[in-house]
Amino acid sequence: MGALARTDICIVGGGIVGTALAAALSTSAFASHLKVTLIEGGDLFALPDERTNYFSNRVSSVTPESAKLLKRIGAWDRIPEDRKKPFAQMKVWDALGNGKLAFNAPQTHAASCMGWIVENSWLRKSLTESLGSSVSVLNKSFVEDISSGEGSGLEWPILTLKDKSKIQARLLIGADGANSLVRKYANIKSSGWDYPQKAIVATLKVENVEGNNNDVAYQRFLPGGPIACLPLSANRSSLVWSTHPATAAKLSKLSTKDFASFVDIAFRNPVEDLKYLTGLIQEDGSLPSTVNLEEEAAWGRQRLVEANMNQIGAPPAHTTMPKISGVIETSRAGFPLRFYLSERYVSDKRAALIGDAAHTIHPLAGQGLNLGLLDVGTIAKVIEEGLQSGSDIGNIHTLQNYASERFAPNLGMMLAVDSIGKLFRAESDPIVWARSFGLNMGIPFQDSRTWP
Amino acid sequence: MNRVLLRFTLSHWQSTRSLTTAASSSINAEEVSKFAAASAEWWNPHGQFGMLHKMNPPRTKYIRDQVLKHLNPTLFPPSATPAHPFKGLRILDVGCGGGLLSESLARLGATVTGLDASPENTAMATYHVSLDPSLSPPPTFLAEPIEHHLQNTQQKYDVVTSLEVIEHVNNPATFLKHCLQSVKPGGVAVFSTINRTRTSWLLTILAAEHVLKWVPVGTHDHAKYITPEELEGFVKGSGENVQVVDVRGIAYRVLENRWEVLGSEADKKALGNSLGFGDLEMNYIVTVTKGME
Repeated sequence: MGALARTDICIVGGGIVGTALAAALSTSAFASHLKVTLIEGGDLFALPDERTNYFSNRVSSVTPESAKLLKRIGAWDRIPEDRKKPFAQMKVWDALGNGKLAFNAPQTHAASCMGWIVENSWLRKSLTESLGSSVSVLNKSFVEDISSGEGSGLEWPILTLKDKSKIQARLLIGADGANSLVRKYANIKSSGWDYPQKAIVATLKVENVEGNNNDVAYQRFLPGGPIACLPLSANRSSLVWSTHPATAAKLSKLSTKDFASFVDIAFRNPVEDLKYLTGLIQEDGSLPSTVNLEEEAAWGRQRLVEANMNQIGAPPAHTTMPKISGVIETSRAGFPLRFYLSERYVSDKRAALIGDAAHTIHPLAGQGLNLGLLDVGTIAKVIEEGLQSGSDIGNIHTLQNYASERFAPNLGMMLAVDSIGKLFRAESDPIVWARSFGLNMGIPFQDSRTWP
Repeated sequence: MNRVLLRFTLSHWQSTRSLTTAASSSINAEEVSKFAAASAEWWNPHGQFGMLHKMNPPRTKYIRDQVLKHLNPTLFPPSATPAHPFKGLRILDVGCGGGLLSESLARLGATVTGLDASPENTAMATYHVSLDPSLSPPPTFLAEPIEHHLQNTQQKYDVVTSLEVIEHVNNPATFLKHCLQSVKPGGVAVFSTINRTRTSWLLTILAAEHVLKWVPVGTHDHAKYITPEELEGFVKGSGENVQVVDVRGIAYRVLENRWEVLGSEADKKALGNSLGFGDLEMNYIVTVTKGME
């Protein structure tokens, strides 16, 4: 039987979202007197690789709204300028039809910026540096069990850690991801599905960027899923490529050089080329010696340009895209894609879920982290308001204000992202035609994400 | 008409709270377990007092804002902070029931004394504050009427509150006078009650008692409801150096499932014009200040 420590708010999970909430509470005039305990299983204080022009393969697209929250917490200005790459435009096009769409940062926006691409490691570092003195961090600590405090004289949840120490909290926040232990304790059901896709990430070397500044994000919808190229610096970009698991397995075996060629082909060539060349990849990841990727790619691209000029009198969308000239060694990694939704965000067992514990979405539109940060902003505000009206912040009536503000918007975004993904995986002609039309009209996107 | 229904009253919760057994001031184990059970109902967020739980935060926020605005600056102790704006203030909560408001005021930092005529209520309230270690100092609850408290202690308070109580007392003018006598010079008093209107009869008596049967028939006595004018008259007639400085309606937004102390003139106008009567038609809340000399 370990010692029992008491805390006001216990946050399980020191990812970006959990750490952001701890930082937000500890820097609030109304909430900084609360004792906050942040429990992280990994190393919260792992340092990013600071080598110039070297980038981690795990990055996030940060919207201006999220940046505002991070600024308020004090984290944003701690991220060096060369570690937050603004992008002013987003170009999206369809591999099968002729649909293309360009989002521009609104002219009224002072920074003329749609968002920033930031490495997760830097987001995490800036947030841990922003933690106020009211936060106790339990680093590399595992929560073994969570029980209701019934019988302890205080009906607050009790967490038992691996070292058998116990923590009792007025309010328990589950920021512990898709397999949330807090969600299990709170008896909240989560339902959804795994996409028949895997995401491959990597850091790309790019050349011939538009406007010499590499400030455009690109996304092409392939039948297997979207492929995105997000700017990191003048000559580096980040890849997120969602595709069939079998294709992903083949691609991950390719040499770095061949993989770079395949990424370039995936962005620039007709879909048939990608299918044909993927089919040539051997078990060991090599290609038959008779195949010259460069030549195949050049020929296919020429065909695509001619076809486009004949059909619509304009070059295909990819022509303005930078050339993928290489892939950074060891930056390639894959992860499964999921869509999970908790049926509630709060419970009367003094628990609330934020971020991926509440909702896990396809990274298609880069909205996962931003939804999580919106959760943080809202629950921090609800806690502050609760404190100002003398409420018990673990009480369901206080927490309900968070749930009613976030549940519907999150669901809306999740369904929009999911339906865009489904729409673009379809290959049947009417759907391709319709989505090309929709993309050119900006129909599926205008409602699904709002740019400030 | 919908908007009228939304603004439903809460007074009936007040009258369902008395228990049948008496309690001694020294609490024994058997009593505690009994109070624990009763308290579980008082404090059950989904129970019969659930609506009162929801009404409490906006009321507390209102008291907070009004006290910060109207309390004489000389009464503010230097220990107050944004997180604990009432730190160092002494507050008397008259008719505290299960201690819902008293606890909230204590969380804002105040040293609270809760009075209730029913020893069952004060015992429940005492039991419940023991469940929250952060209530420091915890509110003190006393089972005595205001006039006895005034006589026995001669204690004056920075702030006196009495919410949804006046409509249940036999002599509201005397009751208000005693409450106001308990306020320090420069202090603030906050009262809430239900207006005596056709709307309040329809909703609290016809609907709540006879049609919906939420509360037993006879819970409310419409004749005892008090109009804002009468309340202001009682305040003026108290013989104390006091004046009414703020009167607001309290509305229930059914779609958002939350209570709101009506704020701006725009709110009042919107409700008043669309329904043909003002926002004080049902529940309302009043702030009274006491002069320094």
